[in-house]
Amino acid sequence: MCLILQLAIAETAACGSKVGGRFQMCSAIASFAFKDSSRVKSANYIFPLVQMIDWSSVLGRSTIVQGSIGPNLEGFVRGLELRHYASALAAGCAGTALGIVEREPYGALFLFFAAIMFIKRRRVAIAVAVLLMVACTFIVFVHASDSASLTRPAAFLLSTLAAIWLMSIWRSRTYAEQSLNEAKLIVESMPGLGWATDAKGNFVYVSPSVIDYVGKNTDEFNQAQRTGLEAVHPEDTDRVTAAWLTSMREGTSFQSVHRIKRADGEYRWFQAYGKPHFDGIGQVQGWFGTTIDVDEKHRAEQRLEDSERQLRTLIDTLPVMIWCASPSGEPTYPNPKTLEYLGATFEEIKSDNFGVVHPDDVEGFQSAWAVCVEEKKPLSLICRLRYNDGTHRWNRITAAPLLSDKGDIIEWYGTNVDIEELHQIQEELRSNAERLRLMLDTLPAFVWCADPKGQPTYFNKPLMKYSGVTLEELRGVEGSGFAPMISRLVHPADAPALLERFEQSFKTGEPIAIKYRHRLATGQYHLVDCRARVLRDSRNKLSQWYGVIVDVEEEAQAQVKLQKAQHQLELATRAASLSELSASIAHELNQPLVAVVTNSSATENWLDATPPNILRAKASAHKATDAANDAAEVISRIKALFRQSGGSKKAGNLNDVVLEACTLLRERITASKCDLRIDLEPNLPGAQFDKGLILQVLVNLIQNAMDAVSTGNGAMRLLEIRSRYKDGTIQVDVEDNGVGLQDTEKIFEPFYTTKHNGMGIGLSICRSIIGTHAGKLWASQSEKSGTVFSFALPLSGE
Amino acid sequence: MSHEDHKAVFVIDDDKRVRDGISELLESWGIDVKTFASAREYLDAPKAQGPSCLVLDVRLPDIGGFELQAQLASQPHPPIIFITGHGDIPMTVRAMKLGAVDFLPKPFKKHELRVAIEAALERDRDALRERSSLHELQNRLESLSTRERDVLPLVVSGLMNKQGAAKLGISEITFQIHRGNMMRKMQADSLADLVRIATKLSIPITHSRYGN
Repeated sequence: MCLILQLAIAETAACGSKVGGRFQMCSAIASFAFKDSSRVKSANYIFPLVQMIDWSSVLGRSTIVQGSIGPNLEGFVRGLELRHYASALAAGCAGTALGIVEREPYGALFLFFAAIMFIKRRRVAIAVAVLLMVACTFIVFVHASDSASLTRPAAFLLSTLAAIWLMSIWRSRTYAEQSLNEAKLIVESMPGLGWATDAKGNFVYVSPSVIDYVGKNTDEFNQAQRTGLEAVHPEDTDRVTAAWLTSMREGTSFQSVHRIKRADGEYRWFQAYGKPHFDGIGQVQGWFGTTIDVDEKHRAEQRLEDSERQLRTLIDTLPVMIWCASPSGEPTYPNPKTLEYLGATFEEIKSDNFGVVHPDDVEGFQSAWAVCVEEKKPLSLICRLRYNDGTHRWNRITAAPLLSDKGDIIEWYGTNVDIEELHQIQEELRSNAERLRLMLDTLPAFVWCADPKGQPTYFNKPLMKYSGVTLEELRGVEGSGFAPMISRLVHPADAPALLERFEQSFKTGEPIAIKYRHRLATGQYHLVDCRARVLRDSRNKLSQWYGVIVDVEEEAQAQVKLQKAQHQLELATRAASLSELSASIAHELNQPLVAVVTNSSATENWLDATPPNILRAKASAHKATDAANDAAEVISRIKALFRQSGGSKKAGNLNDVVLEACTLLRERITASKCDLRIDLEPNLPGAQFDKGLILQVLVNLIQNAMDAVSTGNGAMRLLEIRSRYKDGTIQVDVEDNGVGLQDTEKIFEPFYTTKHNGMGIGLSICRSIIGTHAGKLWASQSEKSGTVFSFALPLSGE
Repeated sequence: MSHEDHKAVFVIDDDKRVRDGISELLESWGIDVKTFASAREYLDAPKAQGPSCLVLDVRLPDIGGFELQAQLASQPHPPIIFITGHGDIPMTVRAMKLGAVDFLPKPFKKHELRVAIEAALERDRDALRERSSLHELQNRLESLSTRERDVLPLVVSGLMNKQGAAKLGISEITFQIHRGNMMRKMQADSLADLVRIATKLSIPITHSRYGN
């Protein structure tokens, strides 16, 4: 019994050792599965497997010596064939035969074990065995006394031994089958393709997952004699074959990552791991292996690798200088572009970080960098770096620290950007701006800018000096626009007009061109010409006003002088033309007068003669009368030159006449740059008048007004024509903002004029025309420093 | 009026009333008047002998008064009295310098015209007389023989007979004969008289007694 037990333990140990060996392989799979949390089911296997590893390794060690006694599990499993039983069966059969000869029942023992072994159904076998045993026992005890020859004990012993042997084999087999079943279960439930080959590489086992995946069973694999390499992706075949052959030749582990074709033709990445097992003398017995689907992992790794490579390529090929530095600021990595740009090796930069910085910038850079390292804040500065051709180029250096959770610097990352061109452009811009400023400050003109609200934003130096103000003084209260500027710098008389003009322009954006009296730093006023235009942005919104002011005082003075000179010249010319006119008038009158004088003298002579020649005297007297009549005719003709004869009066609307007068004078008004305003009462009653004459009066008055504003230096030339129904009469006013009049009554006297080119008879004619219409013409001072000429006509009914 | 000779006044004025008036007045004074509306008309008309004068308007249609005066200046012509409706001092000075008798602004008084016309006619009468005496002297000069005409300037120049004879390459006696004849033909009573006549005839003094 003791021997049986020993054998059993030995077999168990051998079995455990082998199973443990396989479990070690499984542990690799288990650890992989453990990492992948998505494979929860796989993880469930881990605990028992790990436990078994411990158990098996302990067992394995304790049974190393005994390991050689029992056959290996695989050998055992494969050896469970008839030949292994042959000797036991032979012994059993011999014992049984002897028992039959000796008519002993021991042969039944063998039959009993054989029944147990070969009858697959365990309970039936046991029942048959127990039955046989009881029968044998009965036979032995019934017939024990019959004979005591040597053959009987020999037969018993032989049968018993055979029985125990068979028993032992059967137990082993049963155990092995059980283990195998368990192992198969483990192997087949593992997430991988399990396989085993013999020493030549022929499959002895493939797990069902292999069959599932590749669609071939062991035999089909072995037909090709290629250990399943035909399922490997053609691109991987050579590599895998080489690895496999190497492993076979050298008896080392086989490891490979390759693609295997699925039954449906798709390739997936697998990691194959095979381990050889050796027999007692170190000969390779075969291989156990597993091939695990690592497709996703491999692809993920591939992607990671790709992205890493891309990143590296990106960093190395970017036309940007990128570098890293240690927390203390020493360079740790410059990308190739940086090295190429600087024309230095990494070692050179490492040894002297600031060697590539322009000597003038080193100090600033060092101190700034030190501050940044100290305070762990990003760096951004501009300095000149040595370019690979030896010149220095401007670079913007920016760096930021990567901070740990604790706030310590892990690494600095920085970039250098060549801004040489930009810097040059900036320099150019700066010098341009400087030049522009110089130009603006040197120009003999006053330049100003204002925002769209009219707030002054810039006065050039000459303008500030000229006006004795600073820009700040003019800004005034927020949002007050140009009002403080105007009240401060513009003559009070011009201010309202200017304010109005500015308001209009700033609202509509139309250019400003206006003359006004500008207050100087000395307190004097000079006439200036102010012009401004608005700059619109891309959306056509007003963005900035640009204006110039030119002092035209001297020009204006010169103009006045010129006008005076012209006036004198005109006076002289007028005198000349008057004398011409009077000469012509004299000639016209003198001719008949000569005739009168001579004829009347002749008459006298004829009468004085003795005897008096009455006939001739009569004739002469007649001629004298004719000549005198001629003279009278001349006089009346001259009078007619200056007098308007009354035309026909018709009912009409004075507004129409005003508009017609303006139309007639449109060109002159435009040329005189007068600001003409017409303010007509819409429902003006009709009046009786001679349209031609009234038109002449209006034309005369408008012309006078234009002459009045043109002689003044005022920037604004205002001309306003109004019609009103007032106090039962229709009144028309023609107002100007010219120089005004000294005497509003004397101007109506004939031959009185304030103009150098007038005869001084226009207004007197106008008054007589209005007089013939039973109306009134008068002049008065205007509120705007000029003159208003008004005439009133009665309504048509009166 | 005391003169028997036939007096005439030419009036040029484009104004008929003026022409007629002046004509009427002058006729009442018994002066013959001829009127013209333009200078051209006057120039084209035949002129009668006897003292005359021109009453000329400054302003005329085709040829102006001053222009006509300038045209007439190169030949003997009746004295001019300008009349004008608008004369001035420069105009007057210019006219007077060119020999106008008077410059009357219109309207003139009748006696002003009369005085001017009298003066003009008197001057023309003198001029006529002057012109006729010169004509007489010229006739005398023309009556001289060639040799006598040669002798005349030498005598007027004051050469002695001997010198004059030497100049002409003739004898002194012959020279004296020519001189006597010449003096007689020229009706000169003395050498002084001859010199006066020679001056009138514009005979130049070509020689000197004391040599050139």
